[in-house]
Amino acid sequence: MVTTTRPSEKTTHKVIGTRPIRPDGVDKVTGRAIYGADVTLPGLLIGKVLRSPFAHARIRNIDTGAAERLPGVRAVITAADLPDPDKGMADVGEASATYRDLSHNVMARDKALYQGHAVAAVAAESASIAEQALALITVDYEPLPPVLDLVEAMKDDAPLLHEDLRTNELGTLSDKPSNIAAHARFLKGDPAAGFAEADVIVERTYTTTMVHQGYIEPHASTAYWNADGKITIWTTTQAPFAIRDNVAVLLNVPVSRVKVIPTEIGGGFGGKLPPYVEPLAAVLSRKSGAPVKMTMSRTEELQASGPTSGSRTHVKIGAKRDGTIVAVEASLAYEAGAFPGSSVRFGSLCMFAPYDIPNMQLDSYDVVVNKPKVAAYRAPGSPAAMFASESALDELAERLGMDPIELRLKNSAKVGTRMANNIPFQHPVGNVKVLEAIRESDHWRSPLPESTETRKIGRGLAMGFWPNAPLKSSCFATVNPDGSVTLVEGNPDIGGTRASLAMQLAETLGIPYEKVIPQVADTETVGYNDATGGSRTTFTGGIAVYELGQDIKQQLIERARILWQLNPEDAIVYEDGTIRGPKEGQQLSFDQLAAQLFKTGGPVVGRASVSPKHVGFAFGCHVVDLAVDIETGKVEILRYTAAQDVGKAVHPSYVEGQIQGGVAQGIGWALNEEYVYDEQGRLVNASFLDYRMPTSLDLPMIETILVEEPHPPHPFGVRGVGEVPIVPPLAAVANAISHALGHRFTDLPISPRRIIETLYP
Amino acid sequence: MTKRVHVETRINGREVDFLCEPGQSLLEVLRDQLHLTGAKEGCNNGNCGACTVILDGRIVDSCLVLAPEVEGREVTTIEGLAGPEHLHPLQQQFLEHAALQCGICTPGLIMAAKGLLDQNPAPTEEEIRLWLAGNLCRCTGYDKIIRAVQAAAQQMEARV
Amino acid sequence: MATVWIPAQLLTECGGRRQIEAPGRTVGEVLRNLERDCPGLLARLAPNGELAPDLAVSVDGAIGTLGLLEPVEPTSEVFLVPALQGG
Repeated sequence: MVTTTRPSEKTTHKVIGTRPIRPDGVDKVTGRAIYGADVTLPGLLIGKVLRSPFAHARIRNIDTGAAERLPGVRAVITAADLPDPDKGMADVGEASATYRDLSHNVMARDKALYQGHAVAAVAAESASIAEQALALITVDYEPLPPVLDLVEAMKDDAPLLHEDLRTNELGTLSDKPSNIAAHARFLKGDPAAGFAEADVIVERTYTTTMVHQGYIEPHASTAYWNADGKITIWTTTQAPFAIRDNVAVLLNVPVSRVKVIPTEIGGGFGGKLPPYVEPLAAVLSRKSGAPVKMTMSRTEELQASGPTSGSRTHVKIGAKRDGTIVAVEASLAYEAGAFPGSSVRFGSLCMFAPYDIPNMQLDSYDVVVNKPKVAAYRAPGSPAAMFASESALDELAERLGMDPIELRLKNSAKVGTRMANNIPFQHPVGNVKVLEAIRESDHWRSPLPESTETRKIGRGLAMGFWPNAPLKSSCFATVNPDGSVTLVEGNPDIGGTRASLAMQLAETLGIPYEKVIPQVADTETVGYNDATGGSRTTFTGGIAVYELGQDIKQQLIERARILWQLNPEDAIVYEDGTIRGPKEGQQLSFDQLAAQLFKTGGPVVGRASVSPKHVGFAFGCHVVDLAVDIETGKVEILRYTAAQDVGKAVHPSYVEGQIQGGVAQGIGWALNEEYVYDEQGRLVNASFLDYRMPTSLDLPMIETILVEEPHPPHPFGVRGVGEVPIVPPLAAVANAISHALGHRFTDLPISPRRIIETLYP
Repeated sequence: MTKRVHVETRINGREVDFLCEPGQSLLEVLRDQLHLTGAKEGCNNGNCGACTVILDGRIVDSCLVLAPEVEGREVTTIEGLAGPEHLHPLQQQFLEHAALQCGICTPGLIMAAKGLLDQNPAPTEEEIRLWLAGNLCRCTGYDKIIRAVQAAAQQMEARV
Repeated sequence: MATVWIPAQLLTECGGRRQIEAPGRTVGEVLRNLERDCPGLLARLAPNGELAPDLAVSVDGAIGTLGLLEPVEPTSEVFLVPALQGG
């Protein structure tokens, strides 16, 4: 099925909207691109981590003597080799953390708080020697009762993970210690009065389990601590500057002593924001005097990196008979893992954002449990929350006998509508347009295939919202004598952003895309850049390259003034890559002027540093047709269409790719992916065989509809596109299964086992 | 120290020999000794396909092949696919169709797809999906990968 | 006078009022002036004289980086919201 684009304004762009080949493409299809684990250095040692077999245990003693004596072992470390920082806040994406927690997560200090928690590490001359050394380390554990269930964890008499953790109520701490790290509330209007007006109320509790980002490249870092104290780290990360800053605090050295060189990155989705092995590799390098490479195995990834929270959400919606929603209430509890800091507040903010609802109360609880500390995962917090809200809306539509699109259109938010945090939408948003796009799509208008005795067919629809995060970007560029421009930026290219930034710079300068040569620089080469995350790289990076382009244009105008011997007041215009003077025929192409820069004052270097204040909100609406085999419980996705407001698609192929990839992850979350723990808190499915992500055989082609409602504060109308597509699939799939089987499923994943157990209790 | 084994093989059309421990995987030797890092390690137990290479005409997960097993055999890795000045049609079509985002699964997928097209020059969508089911991609949702393989098949067909 | 939207969990400190007007050229000034009406508010939003690290300030819907120094117009609406990044 062909992708359709629905532009809402006539486009005059020459580069934006085309589909060129990405600059890093050839290296990536020929195997030459250097990812985290591909880094090698002379004298390289291999580092490995010893991990706790217990989900909750006091560490009484660690004996590393035998490991240290093993020939070929060059260093052994425990938490005693790391400083113990105080409680400042670390930058690890939306899943916030204090530096102390971050340090204790990197290496357990007094307690192991989840199975796989690092307790010691070794560096040796080979991987096999390092593994033998791990087996020689003896740890004296005192096992403690693990806290694994959200409801149990929140009880007053639950065993405590942290004896000093008190519930934070926006700056006020509870008297008693608790596993509830924080409670937050959004309140709008008067929910009790709203519900009093309701003719229909739907109310249910929804749950999801911990799931993993599932990037195919495990974490991999190489660190070298030089004799002068300088630490160089090659690592696969979404956030080289945050890694630099976090490592500096965790090792108690100035930022100026840490240099982070980002490698190519094999997926992240939020999981490659926090540090894991970087500080350990650095300390092992200091102790051994040699560079140390550490890679995580897939089992380590699943046990001990940063998946996203399991959740429990109670939601209640009240509506009038005509479909007008008068009030909502929700209470969300998310697992933070072993340390505080889940994305539950964002989940509560997102869940009803597409709608104009006068009365809302949304309470959220951040709860520690003996599982790995969660990290961000694509639109962090929103998928689980909107699984609940969009399922509840589907049920409401059923109860009212209303079309699910009409119900959503009737209640849709507009410019001026206040969200749950009472902030009004400032700029046009595409929530109505994506609903209309689906309503008019071939998919929505096509009849469903007939169900058979054993194969039940259903269609489901859901919306998604994510606010996106603008944050900070810096870049610079040099004009070369041949008319090319080398662009130096600081965001690891996780899905085609070298291309999307080069395209926006080419568009700004009016030169061909091929003339822009982008490169991702290390933390000592380019100015500060926040992470590749928050759907921000093409958005904020685009504003940065646009500003940088203006800088270059202004400088080129001044060079033309010198060449043409014009006065300061003489008008020179830069248009479409051509510089024109006031006289007839007085003009130079970009290339012609570039060739004369050295004799008009030297090279031209443009620069920009931006922190946009007005981010473009992202909305999507998805529809899915599926078949449930009621003998096996297997769900087959028959057809899937995703409409999304993308503002302006810079490189439509990569925009479609973001949507298709988000859909695939969302379908996996809905149907198969889950962390399965035994009663001792051991993860029983810590491999890709048992942690079941979608394969090519599990999915159909994924149809995309790119709705373009430009975001006015961006020079090209761009909105971030990467995160929101993971949000709608959870509820869309659940709603479709509910329609197919006539039973509402409220717990994810809706695996074959759950379907069979539900149908044949 | 385990006694090491001497292995003679052909990799990407050239005679190669190396010493390895008997228990080392082909993937480890390719990456750490021969510096052919195009084959990636995603799981090290045959579940993700990122390390796919072609061994005597058959696709294998190189993490599941013991390095001594390639004695006297023929290995093709992603590094052996392109010529000095041209890409293989699969590589070209992966680029044209934006069939990669992060790119970590791409070498394995291209090698797996080559294995398919070598024996079935005009596969259906279903045949491609079945064949590539051992290669996980987390970024793309597979849509553009399937289209790239279809386009490469057409390009190769047209050339014949 | 700018209008400050009081976060739900601070309503008790502010006598239950959802919005309170206060003068000031920056968010910090506005909050300090608000302190007279709502004693204890500042200590919770800005312990140690700086905005709590998990909070962000929104003036008229824009998320700035200046924290308490963010400029405020007489007609502005001021919100205190969770700081946001993404995945």
